[in-house]
Amino acid sequence: MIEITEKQKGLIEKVRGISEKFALRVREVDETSEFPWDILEVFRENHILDLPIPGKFKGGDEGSLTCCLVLEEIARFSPSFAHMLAGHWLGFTPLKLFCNSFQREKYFPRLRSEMAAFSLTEPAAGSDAAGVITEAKRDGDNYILNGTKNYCTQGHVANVITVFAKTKGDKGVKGLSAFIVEKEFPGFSVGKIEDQMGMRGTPAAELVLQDCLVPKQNLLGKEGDGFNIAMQTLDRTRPKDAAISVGIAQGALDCTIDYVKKGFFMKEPLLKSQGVQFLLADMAITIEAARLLVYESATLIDEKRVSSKHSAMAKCFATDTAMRVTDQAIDILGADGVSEEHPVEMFMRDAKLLQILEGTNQIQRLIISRSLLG
Amino acid sequence: MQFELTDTQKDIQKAAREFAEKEFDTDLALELEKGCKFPRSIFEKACQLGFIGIDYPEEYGGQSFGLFENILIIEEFTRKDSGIGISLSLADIASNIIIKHGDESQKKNFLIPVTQGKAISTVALIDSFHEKKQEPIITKAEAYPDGYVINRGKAWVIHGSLASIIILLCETLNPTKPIALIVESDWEGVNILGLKKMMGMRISSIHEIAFDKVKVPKDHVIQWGNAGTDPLTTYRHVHRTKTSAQALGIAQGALDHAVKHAKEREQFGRKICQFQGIQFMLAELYTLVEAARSLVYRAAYSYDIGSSELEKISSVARLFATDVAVKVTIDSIQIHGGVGLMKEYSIERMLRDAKTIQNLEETNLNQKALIAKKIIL
Repeated sequence: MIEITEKQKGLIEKVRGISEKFALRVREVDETSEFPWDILEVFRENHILDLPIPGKFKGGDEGSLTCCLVLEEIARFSPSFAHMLAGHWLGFTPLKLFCNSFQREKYFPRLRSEMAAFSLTEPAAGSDAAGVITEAKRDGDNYILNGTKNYCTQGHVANVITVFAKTKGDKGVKGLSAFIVEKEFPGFSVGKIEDQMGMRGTPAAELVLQDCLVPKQNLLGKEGDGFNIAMQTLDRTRPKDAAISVGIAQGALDCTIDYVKKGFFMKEPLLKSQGVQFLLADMAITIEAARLLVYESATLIDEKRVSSKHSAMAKCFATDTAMRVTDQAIDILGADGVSEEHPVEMFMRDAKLLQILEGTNQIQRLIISRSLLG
Repeated sequence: MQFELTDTQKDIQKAAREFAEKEFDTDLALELEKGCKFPRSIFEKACQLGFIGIDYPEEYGGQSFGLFENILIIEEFTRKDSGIGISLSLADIASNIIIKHGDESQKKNFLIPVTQGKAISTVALIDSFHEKKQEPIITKAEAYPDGYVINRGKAWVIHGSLASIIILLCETLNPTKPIALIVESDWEGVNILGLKKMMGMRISSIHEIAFDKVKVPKDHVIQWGNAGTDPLTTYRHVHRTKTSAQALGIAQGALDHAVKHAKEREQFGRKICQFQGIQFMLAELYTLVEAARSLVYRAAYSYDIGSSELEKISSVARLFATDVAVKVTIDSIQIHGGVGLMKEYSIERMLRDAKTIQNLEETNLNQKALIAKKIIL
């Protein structure tokens, strides 16, 4: 049984106090698709942004489970703002795992307040990281990066980005290396910012690397470590996407319960409809099951027993659950469910992204079945 | 029992497909959706070519085909573009009531202008959006010597700001009985209020219309003494069937996109359609679409022959086809991966449109309740 500590409970209380106020703002952000700097500031001030940063660097020094609890709580009202945090933490994870002491001293303090991002995907490399064609060529004390990365979550606002590029010609994923790239490095620019269906406040961006000059000290790990760095990172961040999904699903269920208590169906109170009662029960069952998978996979990470299978199961099941539950919530709310006056339609759009990012749910199934079949 | 379309039906289907491919454009649809605008010029062309009003009698500008031929067109239109297709298919939703229940002058006055592209007709269903809140039906039509007067009422109306012909389905006061009144939008007391912003279906905007002391002369009152069913029931049957046809088209369109993408996109050194995981998804979606098509066609056929099955089958078709549309669009996005989420492609809009039509006016919970009632009785 996974115990939530008093400290974690206190943190959740604090986060709830902050995030309930986000509900109106998140709708605005959904409409304009403008990055909510004000919300980032709230996360900074309240030391939520720095939660996973080690205590030595004056961060929150918290593990995966705590981060998941926080994301779940925020996502109940504003999935996109939880996605902002998760994006930052995704960007920080490869650094946390693979930085040498020089890199740690240089970047960890900065990432308490500046945004990080993670950039693996390219037009030809979605599910298949071997498709990366961005190249990094050693030139004296620098690497010179050339190529275009895409779908980098909030790559347009991040200051520090882990960029994956090929250092060894045609050797598939074995030729991948990871670099810490700063926004200010010469040759780095932000291309197209995506107009996407959900998580609109925290969109994906294209990153253009044109003879981008990266000091050799910014190579993460060794040349050729890139694929391993990416996979180790994703094993640790997938439960966070799952946690956001649980939050979305819980938020949708909360809205639905609220609605059912007041609404009517065929001239009878909605809550008397057994069809609706059973739907609510189904929603609650899957949410709870997803939540337990999140807690389990996050706890395994905190106990240094990281399981690719469990992280993949949590991500796949929780994101599918968020999709199904938001869909069911709209079915109950009917025309009100598809109206912008209620958040469930936005939740459904947000949920759809989570089924795809950080490895589509097809890739998660691949990881799970591989581990089953050995 | 025949499962083949007739040659004429195939011609109609082909013509609709060619029209949609030529006229509907993704960039245009995106622009229309952003501004919640109706594609007026495409509508006018569709009227000129006889796609709108194909099921009206010839003497009133139509071609005397049935609802079946109409839904073949709807399917092709929404298959090519969900938003534009839905908006065209909703441009004359009052017409079936007039065809079935209207008198000769009503048919002449309110069907012909639609087929000429000069008018859009719609239905104001007073209780649909308020039913769930159990608000009393506040709109009552009161008899006065020359007809009826609607003292007060509000309704959310599809194409509310564009339609010049609005059929108001409400109740009379003393004695209380359902009534259908044709209201013209330029009459005094008809006020168009706000736009309802929905998840999808934004090319067919929904406005709230307030009716305030609107006088409806006798020649605008629809009588239905001998038609067997009442106008509301006719509207429900037709609208459910058309909704299911829209859903079918969207599902087919989303499947088309998924197959195309799976055959083009390469990952891990091969086309993704060569992965069995994707193949099984496609096979399942195809099966659902085919099953939906059978039900939708059967519902339209039941309407045309006046089958007693219609009440049940129109609900079954709506329930199944709209659920299939949501499922297929969700999975089509999944097969597309990241690009499926982006607004510049149509796939994410197809999901939003499918989810919206599934829940507008009626829900599938309603359908289940209605179907169960029919089975148990």
